[in-house]
Amino acid sequence: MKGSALPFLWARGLVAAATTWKALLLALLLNASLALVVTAPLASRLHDLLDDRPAAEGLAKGWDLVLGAHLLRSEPGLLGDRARLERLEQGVLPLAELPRLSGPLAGLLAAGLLHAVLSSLLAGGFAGRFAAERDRGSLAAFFTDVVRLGLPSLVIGVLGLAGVLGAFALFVELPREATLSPDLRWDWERTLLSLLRLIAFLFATSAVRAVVAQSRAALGLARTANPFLALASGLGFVLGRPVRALLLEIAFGFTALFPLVLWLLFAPSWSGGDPRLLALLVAGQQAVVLFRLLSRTAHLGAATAWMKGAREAGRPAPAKIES
Amino acid sequence: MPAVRRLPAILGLSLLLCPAPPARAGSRVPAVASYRIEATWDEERKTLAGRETVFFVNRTAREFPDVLLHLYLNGFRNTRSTLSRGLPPPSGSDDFGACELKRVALHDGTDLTRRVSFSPPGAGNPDDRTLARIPLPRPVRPGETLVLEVDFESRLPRGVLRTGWKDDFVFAGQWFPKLAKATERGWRGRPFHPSTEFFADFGDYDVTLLLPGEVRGKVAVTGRVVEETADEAGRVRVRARAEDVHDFAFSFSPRFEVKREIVAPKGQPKVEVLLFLQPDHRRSRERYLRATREGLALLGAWLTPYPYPVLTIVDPPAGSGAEAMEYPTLFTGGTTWLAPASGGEPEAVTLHELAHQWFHGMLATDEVSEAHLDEGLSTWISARAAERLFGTPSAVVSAFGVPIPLGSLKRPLPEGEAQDALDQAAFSRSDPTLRETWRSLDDAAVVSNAYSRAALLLESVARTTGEQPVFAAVREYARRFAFGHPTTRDFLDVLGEVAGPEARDLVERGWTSAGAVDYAVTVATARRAEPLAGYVGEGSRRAWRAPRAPGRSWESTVVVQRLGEVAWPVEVEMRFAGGKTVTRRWDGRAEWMRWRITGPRLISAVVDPRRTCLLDVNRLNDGLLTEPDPTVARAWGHRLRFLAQNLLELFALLAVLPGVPL
Ligand SMILES: [Zn+2]
Repeated sequence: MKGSALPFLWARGLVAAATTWKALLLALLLNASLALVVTAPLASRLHDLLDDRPAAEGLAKGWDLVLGAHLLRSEPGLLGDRARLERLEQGVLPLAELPRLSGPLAGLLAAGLLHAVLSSLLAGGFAGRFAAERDRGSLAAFFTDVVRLGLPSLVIGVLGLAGVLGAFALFVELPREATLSPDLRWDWERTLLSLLRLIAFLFATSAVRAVVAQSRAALGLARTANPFLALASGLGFVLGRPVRALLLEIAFGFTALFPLVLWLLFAPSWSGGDPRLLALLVAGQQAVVLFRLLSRTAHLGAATAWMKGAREAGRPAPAKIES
Repeated sequence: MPAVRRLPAILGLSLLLCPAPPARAGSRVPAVASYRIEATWDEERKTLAGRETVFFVNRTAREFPDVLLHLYLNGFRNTRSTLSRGLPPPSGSDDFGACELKRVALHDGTDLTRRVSFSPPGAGNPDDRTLARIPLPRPVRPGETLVLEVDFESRLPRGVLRTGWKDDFVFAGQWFPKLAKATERGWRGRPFHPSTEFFADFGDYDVTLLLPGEVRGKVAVTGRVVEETADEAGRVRVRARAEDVHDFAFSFSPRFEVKREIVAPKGQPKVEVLLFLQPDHRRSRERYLRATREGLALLGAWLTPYPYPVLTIVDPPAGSGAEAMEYPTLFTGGTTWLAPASGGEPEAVTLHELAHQWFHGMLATDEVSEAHLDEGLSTWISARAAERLFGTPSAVVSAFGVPIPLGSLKRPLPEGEAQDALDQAAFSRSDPTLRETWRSLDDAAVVSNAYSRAALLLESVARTTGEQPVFAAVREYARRFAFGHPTTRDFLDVLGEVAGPEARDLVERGWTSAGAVDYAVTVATARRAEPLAGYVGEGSRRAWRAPRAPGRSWESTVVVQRLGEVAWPVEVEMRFAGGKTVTRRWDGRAEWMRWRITGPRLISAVVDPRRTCLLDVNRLNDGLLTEPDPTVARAWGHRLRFLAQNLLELFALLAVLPGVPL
């Protein structure tokens, strides 16, 4: 199998990511802590509202539409501004309104941005470690790389985010009215055009993600920490092998989602009872999230290995020393 | 007893009468408003050029010095009409419609065209032209028949609010000049209002339509098509007849796929069912038909047998504005290409519109002022039928044009569809149901009162006072007032008579208040019962008992408060340690009620534990535990954290909130 073959790159990325397990655990800790902080107010409010109410029993197994409506009526601000929430539910909340969200959704948005920033900084550390030959698992070396490459990696992340938002505005928001228009003659026209919107967005996002991953890989491999040079190099690399770069991104996208989907389909939900089951479920959930983090990092690992391999293959072979 | 039954048909006495009204075969109700119409469709201009002969038989005890005609399509005439306040902003000339009176004359030729005036006093909007008044040379006396010849041109707007066209689909509702309702207090007619519907007298229709040849065999009508012939210009001439009806609508499209079926519910007359389906809705065909077939049998058993020999279902294309509307012997459904089976549509809409065949088609109540009588009863009984025939539907979300059923998230009927009524009662409180519908503050008030609140109220009464008596009352109401234009008072009277005064009283309470039902357990405590201490006994037998440590029994206190304006009889269930349960009934009228019970320790108190009153706006406060139980909130905290973890990871990947906006 060629060194740049997809399955080979995929496996190499996963192995590389696994060697940085200490840093990954750190990322998981960061993720879990942020999630804990951002959901704390809502969770505590739920205790106030439900703990001494026998009717709460109806929400033990899962959501109940009628009881949920009663809960939101008795506490209209529970999840944030009601009108915006309704529009969100119908899927028509414009991007421009996101900054005006309130309540838990606003908290989630803020925490999400913070998490994205911190993840970008950490990605600098991962890029440095994957490019290095030695000390891949060293946490000290990882942090040195975070200091050295974190900010440039963040710059690449922000530009990537701009790309994704641009794709969202262009492919999802702009044509929404047109693809859902009642003037279309057939139902399937509406559905297919809407799906086309989604596919265009996912395609553009994948492309952006592929460029971001290769740029970060270039950043790790470069001698100077210039994000723009790295971006140019990453973009050039992807443009040189667009199909494979996209396929690699999609492969890791599916890898990340696979355990989550399995979990959502098959894992039991805890609705009281044995606290050991709860502990087991929490551990399982952390494993799922850790695997997602691992997959995302593995993409960078694979990107680095690929780029390195390509550069080595492009270099003239060293002259043989005859003895 | 309504006027039409009191007066015999005194045809022939009339001075104004000349031609015979549409021939009647098997009519069961003396005709008041009958029409013979000929109209030609102009595909280019989207107009119907028509000539109608209106036969008005005055079966009241009063004289009518004038005629009041609805020109409903003038609601789409311009942006000053009363209807336009409820329409989306127009985007082009296609969004406008009109109904022009070209000529109005008596049958003897007396021209009345110049006498026509619009917006009669009290109509509230001088710019509105949906109501025309025509003074007569001499009044129509009781028993007389007025024959009016009207030439008109109706232009249909692009499909909106029940009528219009989309591509080659046409739905013509409220398309011809139509008499207002004759009552003992004169004409009853209101300008066409965005959130109300119609009110009219029964009669017979003989309608001939000249339509494009390509729609031959694909014309859906009120009543039935009795003749279809091609003319020399390649058009098709369609003649339709309908008896004992109070409206006439039709629809045509070359795309229609027509399915005919004879339905014979056990012990009931046969009904010919015609389905006019969009080709992209083929997957819904059997679902429409099954809901109709089984709905006819069930509603026929619950109410009276379906009163007509034919029933037509029109499946409109999405975006035609014609979905979910009832006409006599004809209704429109509504479905989508991918409608998931567990979502319960188009079954629910089919059953709702089918129920309208009784609560509107046959009873012909005043939809302009008393929309709860048709919408409320239809919503309630069709929810009952849907749950019975198809089970509880699942919630469906739509993402990128694809409907996704959320299997485990159930939408019980009518509750799952009627929460807007509780929001209205909790927050807006703008209108009681018995306010005349067209006077309501806004569309939300109309919808929540007429549909949701009425359905929840009837279901609550059935659960509180007994299901069978309420069903028996509704059946008797349908039987007694068939073709009789009953009012709210008639309904309440039958309810009181058959289901008892409590049922009547509860419905009346729910309809006369804009407020809420809300009972809350505000105190539920248990403490050790204090043993008797202090001075005990009288005179020389008076003794002192020193306070002692509390004994083994508990004193439990429960307070239930009525927080809403509307009182409802409730049960209060108190559960005690050791499994004992005590249930107390309370008529719910006072502001609060307290119970003190000595014995085992109180665990919980719940008001209305069997969920009889669905109008209670806050189920959470219906009970209290004496010891908090954090399990449910903990489970949700746990779910939320995992959700947040995954969303945060998605942020890191995309930095976009997922699902926003699809
Ligand atoms: Zn209805």
